[in-house]
Amino acid sequence: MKRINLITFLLSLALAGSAAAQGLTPQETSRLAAFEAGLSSANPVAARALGTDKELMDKLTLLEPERAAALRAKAAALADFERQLDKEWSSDQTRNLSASLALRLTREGPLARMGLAPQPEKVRAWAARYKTYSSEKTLLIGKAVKDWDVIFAGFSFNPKMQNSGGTSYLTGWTVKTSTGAYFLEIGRSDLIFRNTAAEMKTFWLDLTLKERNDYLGSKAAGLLSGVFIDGSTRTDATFQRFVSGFPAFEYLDASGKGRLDRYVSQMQAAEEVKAKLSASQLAGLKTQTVEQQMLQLGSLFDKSEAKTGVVAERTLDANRPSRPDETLSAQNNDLITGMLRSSLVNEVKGSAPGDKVAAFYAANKLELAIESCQGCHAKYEPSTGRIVIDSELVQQYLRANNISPDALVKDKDAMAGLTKYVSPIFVHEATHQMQHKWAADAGIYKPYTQEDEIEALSMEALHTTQKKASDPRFRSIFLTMGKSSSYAQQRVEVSKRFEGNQKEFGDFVRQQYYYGVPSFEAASSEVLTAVSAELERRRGLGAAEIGEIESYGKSLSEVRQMSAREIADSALDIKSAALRKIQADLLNGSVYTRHYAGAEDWALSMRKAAAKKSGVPAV
Amino acid sequence: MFKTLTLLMVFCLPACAGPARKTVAPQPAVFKAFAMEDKSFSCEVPAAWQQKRDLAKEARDKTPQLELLGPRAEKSPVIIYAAFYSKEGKYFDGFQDYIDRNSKDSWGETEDKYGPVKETALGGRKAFVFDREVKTSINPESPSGETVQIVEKFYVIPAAEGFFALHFYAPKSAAKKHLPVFERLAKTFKGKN
Repeated sequence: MKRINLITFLLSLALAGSAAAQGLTPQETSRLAAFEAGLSSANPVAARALGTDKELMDKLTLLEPERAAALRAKAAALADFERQLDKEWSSDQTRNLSASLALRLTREGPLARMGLAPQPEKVRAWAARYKTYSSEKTLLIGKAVKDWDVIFAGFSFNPKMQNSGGTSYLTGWTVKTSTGAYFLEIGRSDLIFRNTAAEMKTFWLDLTLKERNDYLGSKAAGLLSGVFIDGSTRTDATFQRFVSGFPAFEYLDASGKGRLDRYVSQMQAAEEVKAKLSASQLAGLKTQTVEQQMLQLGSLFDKSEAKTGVVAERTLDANRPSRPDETLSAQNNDLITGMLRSSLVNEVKGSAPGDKVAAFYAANKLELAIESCQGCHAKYEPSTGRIVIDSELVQQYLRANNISPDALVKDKDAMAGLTKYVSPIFVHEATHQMQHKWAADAGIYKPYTQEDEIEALSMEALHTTQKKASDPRFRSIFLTMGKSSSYAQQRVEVSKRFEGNQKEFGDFVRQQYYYGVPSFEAASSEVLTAVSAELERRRGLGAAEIGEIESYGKSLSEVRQMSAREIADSALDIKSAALRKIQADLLNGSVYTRHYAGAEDWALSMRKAAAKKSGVPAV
Repeated sequence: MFKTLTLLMVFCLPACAGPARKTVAPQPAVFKAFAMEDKSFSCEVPAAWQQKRDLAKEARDKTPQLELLGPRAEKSPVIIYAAFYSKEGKYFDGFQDYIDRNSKDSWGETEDKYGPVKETALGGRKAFVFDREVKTSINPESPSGETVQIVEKFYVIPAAEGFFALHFYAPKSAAKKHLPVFERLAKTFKGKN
């Protein structure tokens, strides 16, 4: 079967080659011109037609490979953009749609070359021309692209004046919603501040979607921290609803939304415990911020003054900030990091993914750090080669189990518990490190994609599943911590989903967990568009300009550390040899898809093998 | 001083009630016929939903699967899977293995709810039906722990050469609206014997 496919492929190449030797026919030249004209105005019909004209594109690939690659990449980028916009987005998905569009609507990206960016309003014009979206969807797109007239519709801009030496100065604008509720303050030092609302709107029109999102996100984050988390003492249910529905918080970015969710969780945990306290105990909390209240409530438990139950105590301890004696000192951090470095590699052994990880670190050095992860439980840093475990994850485990950092470094049993707790996310991040090593060994560029996360989550889930079956303490730790820690709940949830159906697991991960991350297909088309267009542009440059790029541009080793978005945005500053290498890598997409398919098949065979070995159903 | 003024403005002004939302009467879903190329199964599918196939994967694992994506809600997808798992397939040791792995909480002691497995009939054939309600993360790597309650329903239809599985997945708030779509697909489902 394989041989027949190969012969068919070679035959088609030979036929195309023979036709190519004669150049393009007038009809083909005309079709090609139509495709190029259509794509220059981002016409999705042209993109679809190009996808079906295989004969012409095969011929063009032989005659003018860069022109063919640029056309294919443009069509792919436009198809990807259209797919994103066509998806059914609900109103609570505006943030996700906006983040997804912000990745694509850049100043130098492929969509900009087709006239669809950088001004985000162009998306609305494009949709009006080529689509028949409902009025609800049109409004949602307007919100997602942060169209001034949509997000500030009916809002009032109230000048804030200050008198100095008899002269009145404009110091800022207080923006209120159509119902008169406070929205935000635009201060003099703000990026968008101007003397009139009309001038601010004009300035706004020139901002990219990312810049708009960053501005609104930072304003909302400032309010969340300054006014609420550090400025308010209320935790009651009415206040929780007020905070959750606060208009500006609609514009928090993912990490700001995480802080908001944590803040609301803290208020809920505090309310749950406060309902059982005496009036005198409550009096001491009245003037304190939520984080201060959580600390004080934690002290009450430690002194056994409150009888509210073990689960409530764990929930409170897991959600409150660490006290000074619970915070990892630099010295303890070094000690615990060193101990985890060796204990983790030993702990993961025994599960199929763990054995794979241990074998990897037998041949490669493990660089581990415990630091603030800024919105994640752990991460692999390609630039430093380190796996960073979130310090809050470690401290939360210690708080919930009443272990101080000083005690941990002297207690082997406590350290063993922490190691088991961290091991699933360690396997996850180690998989990312192995992915980078694979790409480096193969000498190819690898963009970050959904497929990376599918593989990492499969490895993590299989490890969790197999350890749960073989290690009662591991299972007990996750069940106990799962009552108060989102990290533990997530690990259990992922393993259950994986155990239930591996056929659906990859699709599920794309749709539920990593919807905003590009697939390999989308990421490679984005990079190919940018790279091919840049190589085409350089054909028309003078020797001096080329010389400057080749002298000062980014090298291949630097580019390999960049995301697909970063490459697409900075193709102008990358040396030609690096661009050609990336283009060649991504045009050979089967190298990547074979790797991902191999990883999926391996996880499947390992789960089945383990289930058969244990002689019990895989559940 | 700034903080005090801002606090006053933020907390003393009326909360945003927003304009009253118009309610639009739900439109009945339009269906169209779907049939697998290998004739393993056919059914009616909602015309407006996105159909997804991974043909390379199907060729590799010999498991034809149709994925249907409906309108998202609560940052989550609405999905229907329809698949045929052959005896020689890689994923399950028969239909009972599929039922066991999806109708019970493999960890126990969590808050997820699993309904009983009941025998039923689909298209005149013996089938099994069960459902579950589980808490699912929006992002399993985020400390924010944001979750959504998911409602799922399964039909499992044994066949001579394997079994068929129909799987419905939706956030609880949207499940009631889309479950009839799944039921219509199930009622019109015809699999090879």
